[in-house]
Amino acid sequence: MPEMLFEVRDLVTRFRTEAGEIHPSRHVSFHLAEGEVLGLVGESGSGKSVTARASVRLQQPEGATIGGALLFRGQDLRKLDAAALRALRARQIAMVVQDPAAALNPVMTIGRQLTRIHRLHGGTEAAAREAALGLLRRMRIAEPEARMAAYPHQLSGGMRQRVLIALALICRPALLIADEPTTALDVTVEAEILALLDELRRELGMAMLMISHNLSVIGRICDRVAVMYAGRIMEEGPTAALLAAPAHPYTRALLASVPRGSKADGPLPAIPGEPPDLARLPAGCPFQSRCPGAAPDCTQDQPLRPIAPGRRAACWRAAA
Amino acid sequence: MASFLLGRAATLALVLFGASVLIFLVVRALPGDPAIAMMTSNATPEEIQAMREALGLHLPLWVQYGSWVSGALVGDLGRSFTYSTGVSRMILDRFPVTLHISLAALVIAMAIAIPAGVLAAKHKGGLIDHLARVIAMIGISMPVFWQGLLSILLFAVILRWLPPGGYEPLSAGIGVSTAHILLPAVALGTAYAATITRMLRASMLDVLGREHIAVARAHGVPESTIIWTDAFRNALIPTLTAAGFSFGYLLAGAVLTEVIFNLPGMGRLLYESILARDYPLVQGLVLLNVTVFVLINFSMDALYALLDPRIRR
Repeated sequence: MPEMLFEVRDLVTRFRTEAGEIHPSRHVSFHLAEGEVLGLVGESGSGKSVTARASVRLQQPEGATIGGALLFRGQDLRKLDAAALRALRARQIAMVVQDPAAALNPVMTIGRQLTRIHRLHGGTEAAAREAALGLLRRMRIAEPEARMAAYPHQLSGGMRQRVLIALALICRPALLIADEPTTALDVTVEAEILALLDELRRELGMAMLMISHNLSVIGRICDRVAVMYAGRIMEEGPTAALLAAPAHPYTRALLASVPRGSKADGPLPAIPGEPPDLARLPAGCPFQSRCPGAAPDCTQDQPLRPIAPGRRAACWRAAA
Repeated sequence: MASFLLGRAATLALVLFGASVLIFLVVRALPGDPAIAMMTSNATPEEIQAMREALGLHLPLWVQYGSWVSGALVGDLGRSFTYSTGVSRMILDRFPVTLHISLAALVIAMAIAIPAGVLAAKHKGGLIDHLARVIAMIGISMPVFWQGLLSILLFAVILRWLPPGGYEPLSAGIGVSTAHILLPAVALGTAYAATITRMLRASMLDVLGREHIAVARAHGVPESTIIWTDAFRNALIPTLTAAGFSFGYLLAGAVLTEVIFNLPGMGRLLYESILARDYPLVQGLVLLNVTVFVLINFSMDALYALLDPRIRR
């Protein structure tokens, strides 16, 4: 059994919006062992991105974490002050985001953006340059020396995403938050970058929290998957088992709406109805209004419960 | 970079040519005849005609324009109708005064606006933000002449710390010169500071919400570096446009300040020359204003290119 790296218990976040207060994460719990890859999957608006960022205390000023414990190697991140938290960044916890065009500073050269992170955490200029060049080479960027002097707008989208990954990995973190890292890329580039990311992750022995709305991306590189809906984890388990035999009606609906690559299958079944308004959630299961198997007891809260070894689901009728 | 600046310079020349035509025509479209304005009310039509000929106003427009522009190209803007001195000479005497106040106002404005705008954005919704907003609103709403009068009353009349008006060039000694320039520069500079503060605050907030800021934070970049290195340089780009334009207005339009503080600058000269229908003087002053405006824009573009690598190419 590999050692526990990161454990999130009962995370509750709050956002103030014009429609009122919403809770993008409602008692979310998950854990990652050293070197493990956990996929956090869900539709847009399910709260997965806010949850992931809040779990490592990176949230927008409008948001706040109002409950839960965030245990990184046994230390609660919520109890750390700003300086202690900053010392963990990049060296222990790093992040890759979706839009590489917006995620790099447009007025700073690639080289400076990479090396300053290394130097910030105690490297010399020469060591930082060495590390940056090495990573750019590892990310299969041609002419890394020339790229170091380039500005983000001079690179293609795929290239920028590689730079962004290099930025996150430059201090060899133990945990990478990957927030839809390939969503902005086209399919061939996506496959290439996913493969590279996975390769580097294995090399560094790094754990990864992979946020995606794309089940095929999740299926390719995650050890375990947690499915989020309306701020809650609905189901969680080993990737292969969960994708082969989803236990929660929402997971089943989500899987049914994934294209399988053949037109003969006919139109894709979409999930009927709309995702619930986070400002006005029903009591009990948030999926009840769209669930084909809804019953009166669905208005009663059903927390995640074990349904098989390593698998949990939040449904009265879920069974593996 | 060089080709970018060359392109801008070509545009600049074109703008100046267009502006010169426009200035020339508009001045002549003003109601009132300068020949009449210069003579006593009992002048005969013959005398008026003689005066028109003496001023060259009887010539076809294009001839008048040609001689004005060819003179302007070598720095000769003609003779003032009312002062019968060279317009270039008069402007050269006045321009340093206006430039001096405007630059002093610019320095004061920046010294206020940069920290105020950045801090207001950093503490959005906090005490500093509200304070900066209220002060900026007052700065924008209070007319420059009113603020000028109040400051004269307080610092010159009641406290007697500073002279109430007049101008002393830097050659008269830094202390004396600064004492004279301080009140008008503050009056002008604070109004200007208010505009830039609001602009800078808005663009700082925009930049601070961008993903590259979140990424920098996620990798442990300290907050002061985030504000001053990551955000400020990006926020400066749109702010410069506003600042550049305002500086153009500052140079061109310090009329009220110059009148109140009794400063022999260009604003006052322009005001007087329009009243006198002094065509060459009006033309010369407006042409200079346009040139300054265009040059400021040009330097803003050059600064942009320096700040924003996406514009260079």
